[in-house]
Amino acid sequence: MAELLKIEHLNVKVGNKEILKDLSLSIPEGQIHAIMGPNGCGKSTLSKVIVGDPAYVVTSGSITFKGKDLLKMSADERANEGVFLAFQHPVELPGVGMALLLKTAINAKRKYLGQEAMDAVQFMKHMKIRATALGITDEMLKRPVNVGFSGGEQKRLETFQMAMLEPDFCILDEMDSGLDVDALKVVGKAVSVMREAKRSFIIITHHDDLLKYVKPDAVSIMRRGTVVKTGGPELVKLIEEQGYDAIG
Amino acid sequence: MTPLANPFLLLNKDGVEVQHPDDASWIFNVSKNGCLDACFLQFDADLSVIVNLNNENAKCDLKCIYLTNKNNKININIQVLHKSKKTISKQQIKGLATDQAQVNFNGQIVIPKNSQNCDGMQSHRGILLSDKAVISATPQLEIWADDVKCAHGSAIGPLPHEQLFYLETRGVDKASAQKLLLSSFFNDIIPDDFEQSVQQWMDENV
Amino acid sequence: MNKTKEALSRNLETPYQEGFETLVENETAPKGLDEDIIRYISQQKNEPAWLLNFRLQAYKHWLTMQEPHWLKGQYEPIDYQNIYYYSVPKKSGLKSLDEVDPEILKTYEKLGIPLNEQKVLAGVAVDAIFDSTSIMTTYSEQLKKQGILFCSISEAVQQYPELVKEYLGSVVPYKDNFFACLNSAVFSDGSFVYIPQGVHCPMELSSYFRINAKQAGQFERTLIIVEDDAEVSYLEGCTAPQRDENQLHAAIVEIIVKDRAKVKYSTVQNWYPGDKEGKGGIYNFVTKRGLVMNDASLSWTQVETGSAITWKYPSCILKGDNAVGEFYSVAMTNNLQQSDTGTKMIHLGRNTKSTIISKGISAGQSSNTYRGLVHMGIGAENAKNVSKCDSLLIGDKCGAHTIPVMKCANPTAVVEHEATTSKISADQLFYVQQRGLTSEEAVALIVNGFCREVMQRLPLEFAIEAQKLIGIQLEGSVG
Repeated sequence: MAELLKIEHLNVKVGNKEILKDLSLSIPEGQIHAIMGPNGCGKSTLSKVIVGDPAYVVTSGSITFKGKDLLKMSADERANEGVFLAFQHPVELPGVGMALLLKTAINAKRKYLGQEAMDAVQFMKHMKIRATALGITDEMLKRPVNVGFSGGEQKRLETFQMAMLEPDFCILDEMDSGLDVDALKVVGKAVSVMREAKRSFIIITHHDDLLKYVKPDAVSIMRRGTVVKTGGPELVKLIEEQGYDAIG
Repeated sequence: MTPLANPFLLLNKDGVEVQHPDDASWIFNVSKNGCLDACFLQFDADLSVIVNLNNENAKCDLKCIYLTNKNNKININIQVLHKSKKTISKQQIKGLATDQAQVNFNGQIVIPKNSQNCDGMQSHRGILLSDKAVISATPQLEIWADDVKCAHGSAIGPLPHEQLFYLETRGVDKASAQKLLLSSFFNDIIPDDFEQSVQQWMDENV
Repeated sequence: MNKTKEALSRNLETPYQEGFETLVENETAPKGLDEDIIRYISQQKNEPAWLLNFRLQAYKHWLTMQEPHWLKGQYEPIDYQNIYYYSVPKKSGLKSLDEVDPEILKTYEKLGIPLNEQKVLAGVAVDAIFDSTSIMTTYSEQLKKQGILFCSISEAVQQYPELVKEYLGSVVPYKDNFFACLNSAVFSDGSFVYIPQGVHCPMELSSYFRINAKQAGQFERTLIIVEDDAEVSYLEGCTAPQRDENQLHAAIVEIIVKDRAKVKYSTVQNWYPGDKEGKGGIYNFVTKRGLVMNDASLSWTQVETGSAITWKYPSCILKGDNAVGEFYSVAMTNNLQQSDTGTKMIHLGRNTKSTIISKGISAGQSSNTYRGLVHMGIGAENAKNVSKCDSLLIGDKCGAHTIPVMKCANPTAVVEHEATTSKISADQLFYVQQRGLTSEEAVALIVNGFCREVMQRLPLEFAIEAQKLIGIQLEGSVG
């Protein structure tokens, strides 16, 4: 399998604090890769660094995506290359409708790829199918992005955005915190429907709730800012039974 | 009945220099990490308060209650100056006017250039108890720094109909319901020391 | 954070698009102001004696007044003797389009307002005002069939003198304020609208104001009379060439909204704002006011992006019972622009209602002030007002101010005001960028969201122009 994302010897700081230390990780095409670890181990930082949050400073190391140097790209370029993050804490955008955001985003990517813009009819169709499948009501689409939604609804909408934008590489950051079983099923369904030979996922979590609905191909364990172990799905069971202290 | 004084209560003055140039005027200079927590109760006198938040982490929590009747005309001016970055202010002003009384409330939050990361909040709520009383309010924001949070709200109007109605459905007559709601109107800001004076004014005027 | 600022300044640095000049010969009265100039204006327009008297009375009163300076902003004193008060293109007052100077037609076409009969905007009647005069009014004849009068005010003075005489100055008396008084003395042209009882105007009416001549002031006067049960939606747009000197624009808009009538008045103001150093630009000192009778409503929507200084408070006098007043405003300032705008809602009748939504966006070194008055008179039984004023600051050199005045003299009336000040957060910007938008697009999207409540109120064609002006892409809009 060809490699989609490769991280080598990554060191990351916020202010003077080193958060990621000598982290390496490789994700081939088509893989669902779970990243597990206790609170504060740097899982969320890793996701932010991959998508290019300017709050984090990469002091050394590299991230390549489809053979391209991701660190040289701005956040929007990375998104248009196909990197998507479902945020743990999505930010509110007062007055900005979901449909407007998505149509602008889809056409930004099409422009980036030299494709023609999607017209309104196509777009509505594209949206309708996915909204219905994920239980997103028209009323939710009309409201401004993330304003006044419950935690569960916000995550449903992050999943919906992922389905709309059809990225090649999806990072789901702690999608299972604060989600009830129904919402977990929706996320699980979205991932299994979207699963394709060339599309990969990183699922970040600190317990195994979501992994009951999405079976990972590989699992990495993070502790103290780095990946301490990578293995198969059996690692999930090990963590569940013995806790993180069983590893590293 | 003894006339009610216009008392002033300083609940906290750590790191605060207090000036009192005349009967109606107060100037508070709050220095680094200082915290001003004060409450004013105005019956028939003007009030002018200036709070200078001079250094980082200076805070103020100002409360003012006005209760005025007869032909009283009172002016309440409160100005909070965020002279340093990372300063926080909160002002809560509540009051009642009855008979022919006139209240003129003027509040201002000023955040000059370079005073980043400040947080300013001001709220005013006034209730008119007679059709000859007048309340005017001018809550102002003057902001020259972009990384700040600032909000104010002001409302003048009668007691909410829903609240009165709710009490009526519980068997409380309108007058008692009004009295009950008015006496709890100040609950969120009134210090214990003022409760008796406020109650006395209510008994005489409502 | 710096990225936000860079993106924003790039976004905001699009040069003024309407800054070109039209080369056309103008007939101009000598500079300066005295009784002779006023007589000259009145004579040129062949006005009846009562109107000349109105002007002269106003002028006499104006001489006793002081230029006010209470706005939050600064400007050099205006030299009133260094302004041309009357300037019209030589070929004007013409009956057919063929006679209009082709340069002027080209100007309007360039501004997106074709006057040519084959190309006139469908569904929108336009009164095109160039410097001191109305060039032409489209759809005038069709509207007349329904009894709707839409023409320049000069024409109205000739054709419908009794209507003009009855209502001119009835809502904004000449003594009202310094600039209104000046306008009453020297106003040159403007639009006149009369909607008869029960008629719903079938199309949008609009005025397009263009200042072209150098050192000329523009003093237009708009009078809108809407009879019982009638309805109209009116639009106003403004542009001017790029010049180094400041130019004065002191207009008056008077609206009479009779029982159960509805008026919607929208403005997109894009006068030349001056350059980056604050050189040049229009002084936009305008008095707009409507008198609203029983069960009637008046709604003001404005998008203010131009002018060096904007100083205006479109107001509603809610005189009748159950009258409704609305004010929706977006004011955007950049560079050294100064804007002091808001509204006055004067509640006199019972059960009157008003809503105020104001969105201020300040960038560069500009200053943006919301100033408003809500007055609940003694008779304003059960009247209600709700105001919401939000300011967005872009960069650390600009200012945003909120000065709402509330006066309540009726114990059953409710006045509620809320205001916030904020900036675009780095988190918001990043979130949108993660979805694939460049930082410029992300800012435009967020500012668009910030203004949406107001933009939604504009008729569609106008909303498009307005959003373009604010540097917002509308292509992405769905549903």
